[in-house]
Amino acid sequence: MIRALKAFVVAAALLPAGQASSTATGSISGVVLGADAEQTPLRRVTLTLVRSAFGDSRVTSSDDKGRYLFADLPAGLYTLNATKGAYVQANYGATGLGLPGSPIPIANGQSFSAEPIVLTRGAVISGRLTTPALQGLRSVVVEAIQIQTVNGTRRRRPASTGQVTATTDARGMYRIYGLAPGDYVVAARSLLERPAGDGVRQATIEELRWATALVSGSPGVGPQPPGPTSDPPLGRTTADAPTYFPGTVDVSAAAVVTVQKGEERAGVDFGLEHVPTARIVATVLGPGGRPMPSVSVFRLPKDVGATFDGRYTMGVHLTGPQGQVFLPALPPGSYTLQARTVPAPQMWGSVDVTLAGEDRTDIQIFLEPALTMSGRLVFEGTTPAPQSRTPFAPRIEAAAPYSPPGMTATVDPDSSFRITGVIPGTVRLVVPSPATSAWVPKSAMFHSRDLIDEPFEIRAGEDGSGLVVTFTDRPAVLSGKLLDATGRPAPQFYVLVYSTNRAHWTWNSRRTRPVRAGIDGSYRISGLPPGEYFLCALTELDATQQYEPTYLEQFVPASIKISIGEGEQKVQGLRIGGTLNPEP
Amino acid sequence: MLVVGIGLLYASAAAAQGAPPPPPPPPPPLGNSEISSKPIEAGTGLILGRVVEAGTTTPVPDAMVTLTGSALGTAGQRFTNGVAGGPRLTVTDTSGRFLFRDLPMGNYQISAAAQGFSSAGYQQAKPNQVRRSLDLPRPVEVREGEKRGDVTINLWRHSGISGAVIDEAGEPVVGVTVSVLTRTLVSGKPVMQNYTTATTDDRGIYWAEVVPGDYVVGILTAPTTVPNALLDEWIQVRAEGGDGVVAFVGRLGAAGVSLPAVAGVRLGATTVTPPRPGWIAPPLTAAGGRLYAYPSTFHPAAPSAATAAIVTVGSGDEKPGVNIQVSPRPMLRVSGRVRGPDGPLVNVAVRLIPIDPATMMSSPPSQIDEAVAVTAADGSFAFSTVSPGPYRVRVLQAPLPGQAGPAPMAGGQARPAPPTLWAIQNVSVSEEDIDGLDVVAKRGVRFTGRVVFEGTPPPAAAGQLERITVVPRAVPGTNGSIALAPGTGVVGPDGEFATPELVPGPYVLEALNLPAGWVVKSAMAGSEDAADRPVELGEGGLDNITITLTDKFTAISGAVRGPNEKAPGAPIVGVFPVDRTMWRRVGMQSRRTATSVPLRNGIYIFVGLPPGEYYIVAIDGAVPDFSDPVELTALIPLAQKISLAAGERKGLDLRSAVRR
Repeated sequence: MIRALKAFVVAAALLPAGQASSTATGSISGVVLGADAEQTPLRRVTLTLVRSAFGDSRVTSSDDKGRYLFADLPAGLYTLNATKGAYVQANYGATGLGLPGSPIPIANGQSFSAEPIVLTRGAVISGRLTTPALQGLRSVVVEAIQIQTVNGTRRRRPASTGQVTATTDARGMYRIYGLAPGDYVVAARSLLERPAGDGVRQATIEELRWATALVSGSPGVGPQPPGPTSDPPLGRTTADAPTYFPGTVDVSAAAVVTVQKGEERAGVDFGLEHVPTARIVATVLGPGGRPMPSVSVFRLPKDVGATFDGRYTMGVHLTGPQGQVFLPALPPGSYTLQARTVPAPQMWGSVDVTLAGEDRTDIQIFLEPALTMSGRLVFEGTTPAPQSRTPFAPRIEAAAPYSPPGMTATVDPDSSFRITGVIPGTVRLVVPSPATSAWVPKSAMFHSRDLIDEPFEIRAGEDGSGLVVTFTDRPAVLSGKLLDATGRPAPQFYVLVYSTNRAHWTWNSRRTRPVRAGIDGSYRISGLPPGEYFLCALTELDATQQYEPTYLEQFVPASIKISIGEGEQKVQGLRIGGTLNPEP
Repeated sequence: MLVVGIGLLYASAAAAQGAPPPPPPPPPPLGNSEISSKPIEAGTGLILGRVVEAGTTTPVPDAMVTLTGSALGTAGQRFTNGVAGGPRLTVTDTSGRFLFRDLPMGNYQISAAAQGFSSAGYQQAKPNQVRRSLDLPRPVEVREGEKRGDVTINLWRHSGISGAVIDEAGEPVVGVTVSVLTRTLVSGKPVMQNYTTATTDDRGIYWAEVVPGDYVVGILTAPTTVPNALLDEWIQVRAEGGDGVVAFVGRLGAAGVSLPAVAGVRLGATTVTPPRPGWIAPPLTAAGGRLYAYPSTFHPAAPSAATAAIVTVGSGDEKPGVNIQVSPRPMLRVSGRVRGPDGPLVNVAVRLIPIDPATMMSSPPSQIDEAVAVTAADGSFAFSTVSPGPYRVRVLQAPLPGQAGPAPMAGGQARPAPPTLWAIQNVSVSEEDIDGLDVVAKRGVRFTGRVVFEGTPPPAAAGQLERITVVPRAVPGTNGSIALAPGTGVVGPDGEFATPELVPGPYVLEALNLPAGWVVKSAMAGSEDAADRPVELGEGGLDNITITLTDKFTAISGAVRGPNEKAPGAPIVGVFPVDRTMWRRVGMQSRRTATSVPLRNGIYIFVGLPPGEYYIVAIDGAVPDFSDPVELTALIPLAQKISLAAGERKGLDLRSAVRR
C-alpha cells in the first residue's frame, strides 16, 4: 500500500545538522508488556539499542516490573528492539508484528520516555529432516522465509524479525520460534562440509556387481587384470541442494506454511534433494595462444535474478602451470567464468558456460589487455582537506550486482590516483563517503561527464586518464517532517527520494535514497547531488527492489517533485493524504 | 620420534624381515609444480567395503564414506579417468556396501558418518571421546591393482544428552548456549575439555550429540569487560576505515584483546559483554550496592565444573533430564591496576582464570569460563560479576605470531623481537570484593644457545640450518603454559638461536624442521638434557643451550604376530622408556614415547628413537593412553625390554597382547 501525500513547506529546520557530539547525556526508558488482556509486565526482555550511522549497539534487560533504561547516550538517531525467547521481536515504532521500527532522535541531554513495548508470543514451526529411510539429518540449517506474493511472484517479505533459522540436531529435529504471523516457505541446506572433489559419487548396481565379482575371484590378493571393456561406467556425482518444504528445489513449488499468532505448527518434515553435479575444465590463453598460469578465474552465477532468496555462490580459482582451472561439483545452471591476471600487465577474459549435469572440459578463455584509469582527488571547501587520502580512494567495479571485487585506486600524497586492471564493459565508479568525515563526494568528471551517478561504458583501448573526483565539505541536506492529515507527526513511513531522470535509476545510485522517518516524523538525507528529485512516503520498502526501475516507476504518481541546489539545506515537510492503489 | 621417509620405512621394514625390498613407492603426485596440472594416472585398485552397526552384521545404509590419502592428490587435480583429485565421497547402498575404484596403490584412510551414528574410522575399536595424538588412524593398504573386499567399518549408535535450562522464576531460558565438557580420567585424576555446545529452544530445551563417556554440562557466563573509551575509539576508527582499522586490530591483538562482536551492557565507564549472544545480559540489577547477575552454573545447579554432577552416557543412550537451574546472585568485584616496567599497561587483556586442576592438565590449559577485562588508559581494570573461588589473574603482552616469526640473526646479531610483558598471580575470592589489586607485569626471558652437528657427512647447507625452529614446550599447569606466550625460536646461519621472550618456568625443548636424515641427539642445558626432561627457565633466562643433531639414528622394526601364530587383528605397537622420569606427561609430547600401526603383513617400524632402554608392546583392541602412568605400568608385564645404542638398527618380532 502506498500513501499519496501532499507537500507543504515548514520554515524551520527540525534537527541539528547531525554533528557527532562527545557528551553522552541522553536517555531512553520504558516498559515492556505482554500482549495478554492484563498486559503483564515482562521480565528479562533483552532490549537492543543501535545508533544509526555508527552502527554501535548496547543492550540491557528489563527488570521484574518490565522496566528498562538506557542512560548516558550521545545525541543521535537510535533504533530500539525488544526480544524475549519465544516472543516475536518488537521493533520500536513499527506498525505491526515483524515490521521495521522507526528511529528515535535523541538530542543532547534529552530523556525520552518510550511508549510501552508490547510483546506477542511468536508462532513456532517445527519438524524433522530425514533421509528417505527416515534417518534424521543432522547439521541442516532450516530457515523460515516470510513471503508475500505479488502478481503471482513470491518475494521475501521486507520483514525484520528475530530468530528465523534453526539447525537440526543429530535426530534431524529443528524448531523455529518467535515467528510473526504470516506466510512462510521453509528452506533447508546442509551445513556438513562440502565435498572437496567431485561431490558424492554413488556406485551403480552394475559397478557393485562388477566389483563383487573381482573381489570374490581373487580373495584379498594380487592384481587381476580387468578387461578395460568390462569396466562399467562410473556412477553419477550429486550434491545436496537447498531444498524447500515439502521437498523441492523449486521455490515456486514450495508449500506455503501459514501461521497465526502464537500458533505451533509441528510436523513440517522433509528431506534434502540431490542434484547431479558436473565439472568444468577451462584453459586461460594469453597473447599468441600461450597458456597462462597463476591467473585468477572467478566463477559467477549468471542468472542470479532467478534465485528466490539471493542465495548464490561465487568461487575463485587459480590456473595451474598449464593455464588450466578445474571446477568440480557444480550444480546445473549458467555460469560466467571471468579471468583476471593480478600482476602487471593486467589482462582479462570471460566466457559463459551452461551446465546440465554434463561435464565441459573444453572451455577456453582468451585474455586481452585491461585498462587503467587515472586522475586526481580534489577537496573543495572551507575546512582543511583530510590528512589521509586513503579512505577516499575511488573504486571501479562491474555494474552488475554480483561481480568480482572491484579495483581500488592507489592515491599518491599529491592526490593523484591510478586504478589499474579495469575490465572493459559497463562499470561503475564508486566514490567512498566515510561515515565520520565531513567530506562527501560531489562529482567525478571524465570527458565532461559525471561518472559518479550512473554506470558507464569503457571500451578496450580507451584513454582512461583525466578523471577528476571532487569532494565537498558542504553537502546538500534534505530534511523535514511527516505530518498526518490532522497535523500530528506521522512516523512509521519510509521517505524515498529518487531522481526525476530515469537514466539515474541504476543499481546503488546515490540519487536513490530511502530513509526511515524518526519517531517524531522527521527525516534527513545528506549528500544528494544537485538536481530534480521525486519524493514520496511509503509504508513498506523492499530493499532488494529499491534500485529496480519497475519498482520506482510505480511510485511516480504518488511522489512530489523537488529540486536541490548545490550545498542547499532544504527543508521539505510531507503531509500524508489518502490511499492510492499501486496499480495505475 | 622421526619418520625419515616412506622409502626408508619400506626398505628397513623389509630388511628386518629378510625379504627382498618391495618396489619403491611411486613418486608423490604433489610437490612438483611442473606436473601438477597434468592428470594423475588412475589405478586399477578398488575397495569394496561395508558399513555395519558395531557388534552386529546389520548394514548401515546411506552412510557417507570418505576416502583420503596422498595417492588421491588434491582437489585442484584430476585423474586420467576424469575423477577429481582430493578426498572421495560415496554413500552406502541398502546393504551397507560402498565402492571406491580406479585407485592407485597407496595407504588410504576411510571414515564413515551416518545419520543416527557417531562417525568412525577403519578398525576403530570405540567412538573417540577425546582424540589423543598417539591414537593413530588405521590405514587401508591397496597394492598395485589390488581388489580389496575385506574392509568393514563399524559404527556406534549416537548418544545424546538433553534437558531444560530454567531460571529462578521457572521460566525457560531461551536461545542460550549449553557447554558440554568431557570428563576423562588420566592417572586417576579428572581432565576436562570442551566437547560440544548446544542451544536451547523456545521451551528452554537443548539436545547435544555425544559419544559414550562422562560429561559435565553447564552454562558459562564469564563476560568480557571493555572500557567505553576503547569501544568509542574503535567505532571511530571503523567509521573512518582505511589502514587505521588494521593497525588498531593489530595493536589490540598483541595485547590479547579481541573486541566482542555482540552488544554489551554499559556499566559505568565499561561495557560488559556475555561470552556468547543469546545469554541474558549480565549484570541484571544493582541492589544494595551489589550487582546481581547469573553466574556460571552446571547441572544441576553447581557453581563450578569441579562440583558439577557427572553425566555418564552409554552407547546409544539418550540421557534426558540433564537440567540446569540458574538464578541471579549478588556478584563480587575484582579490580586493580596493571603496571609494567614503564608505567601502566594500557588496553591489555587481563584474564581471570578459575583454578581447576582438571583444566590445567593440558598445555595450554583448556580455556573454560575465563573472564576478560581490558585495562583503561590508567592501567585499571575491573571484573564486576565474579563468583567466589580461587583464580589466577593473567596478563600477556607479546609479539603476535607474525612479529615473533623469522628473527634472522645476521652475523650473530639477534634482531630484537618485541618484548613480552607478563603477569600471573593467584587471587582467592571469598565473601568480599577485592579492589586495588596491584598486578605487576615483568619482562619475559629467553632460551639462547646454538645448534651443532655431529656426524660423518658435512653439516647441511646453511639455508637448511635457518629453517630449523626451536620450540619450547611448557609443562602443563606451570606459568609458562598458562601464559600462552608464542615460543618458536629461529636459528641463524651460524647455528645461534634465541627464543622469543617467555614466562619463566619448566620447559622441554624440541627442534623441528631438521635437515633430512638428522635427528636431535640432545639439548644440553649444563648437565641436563632439555630434550628429555623439563629444565627451569629462571628469571634471568637460560643461555648456552647446545642442541646437538646427529645423523646416526636408530631403527627398530619387525613383524607383529597374533597369539597362536595367527595373523594379528588390528594391533598397535607402542614404545616407552624404562626410566619413568622420561615418561610422557599429560598434555605433552615425548620423543621417547611413540606408536606405530603395522602394515598389513604385520611389519612395524620406529625410526629415530634416542638411544636408551625401552619397553615395546603390541596391543590388540582398545588403544591405551600412553600419557597415563597407570596405564603404562599395567603395560609393562606385557612388554619386552630392549636397549638401543646410538645408530643401532634392531629387528624384533612381537606377539600382540589383548589388554584385560
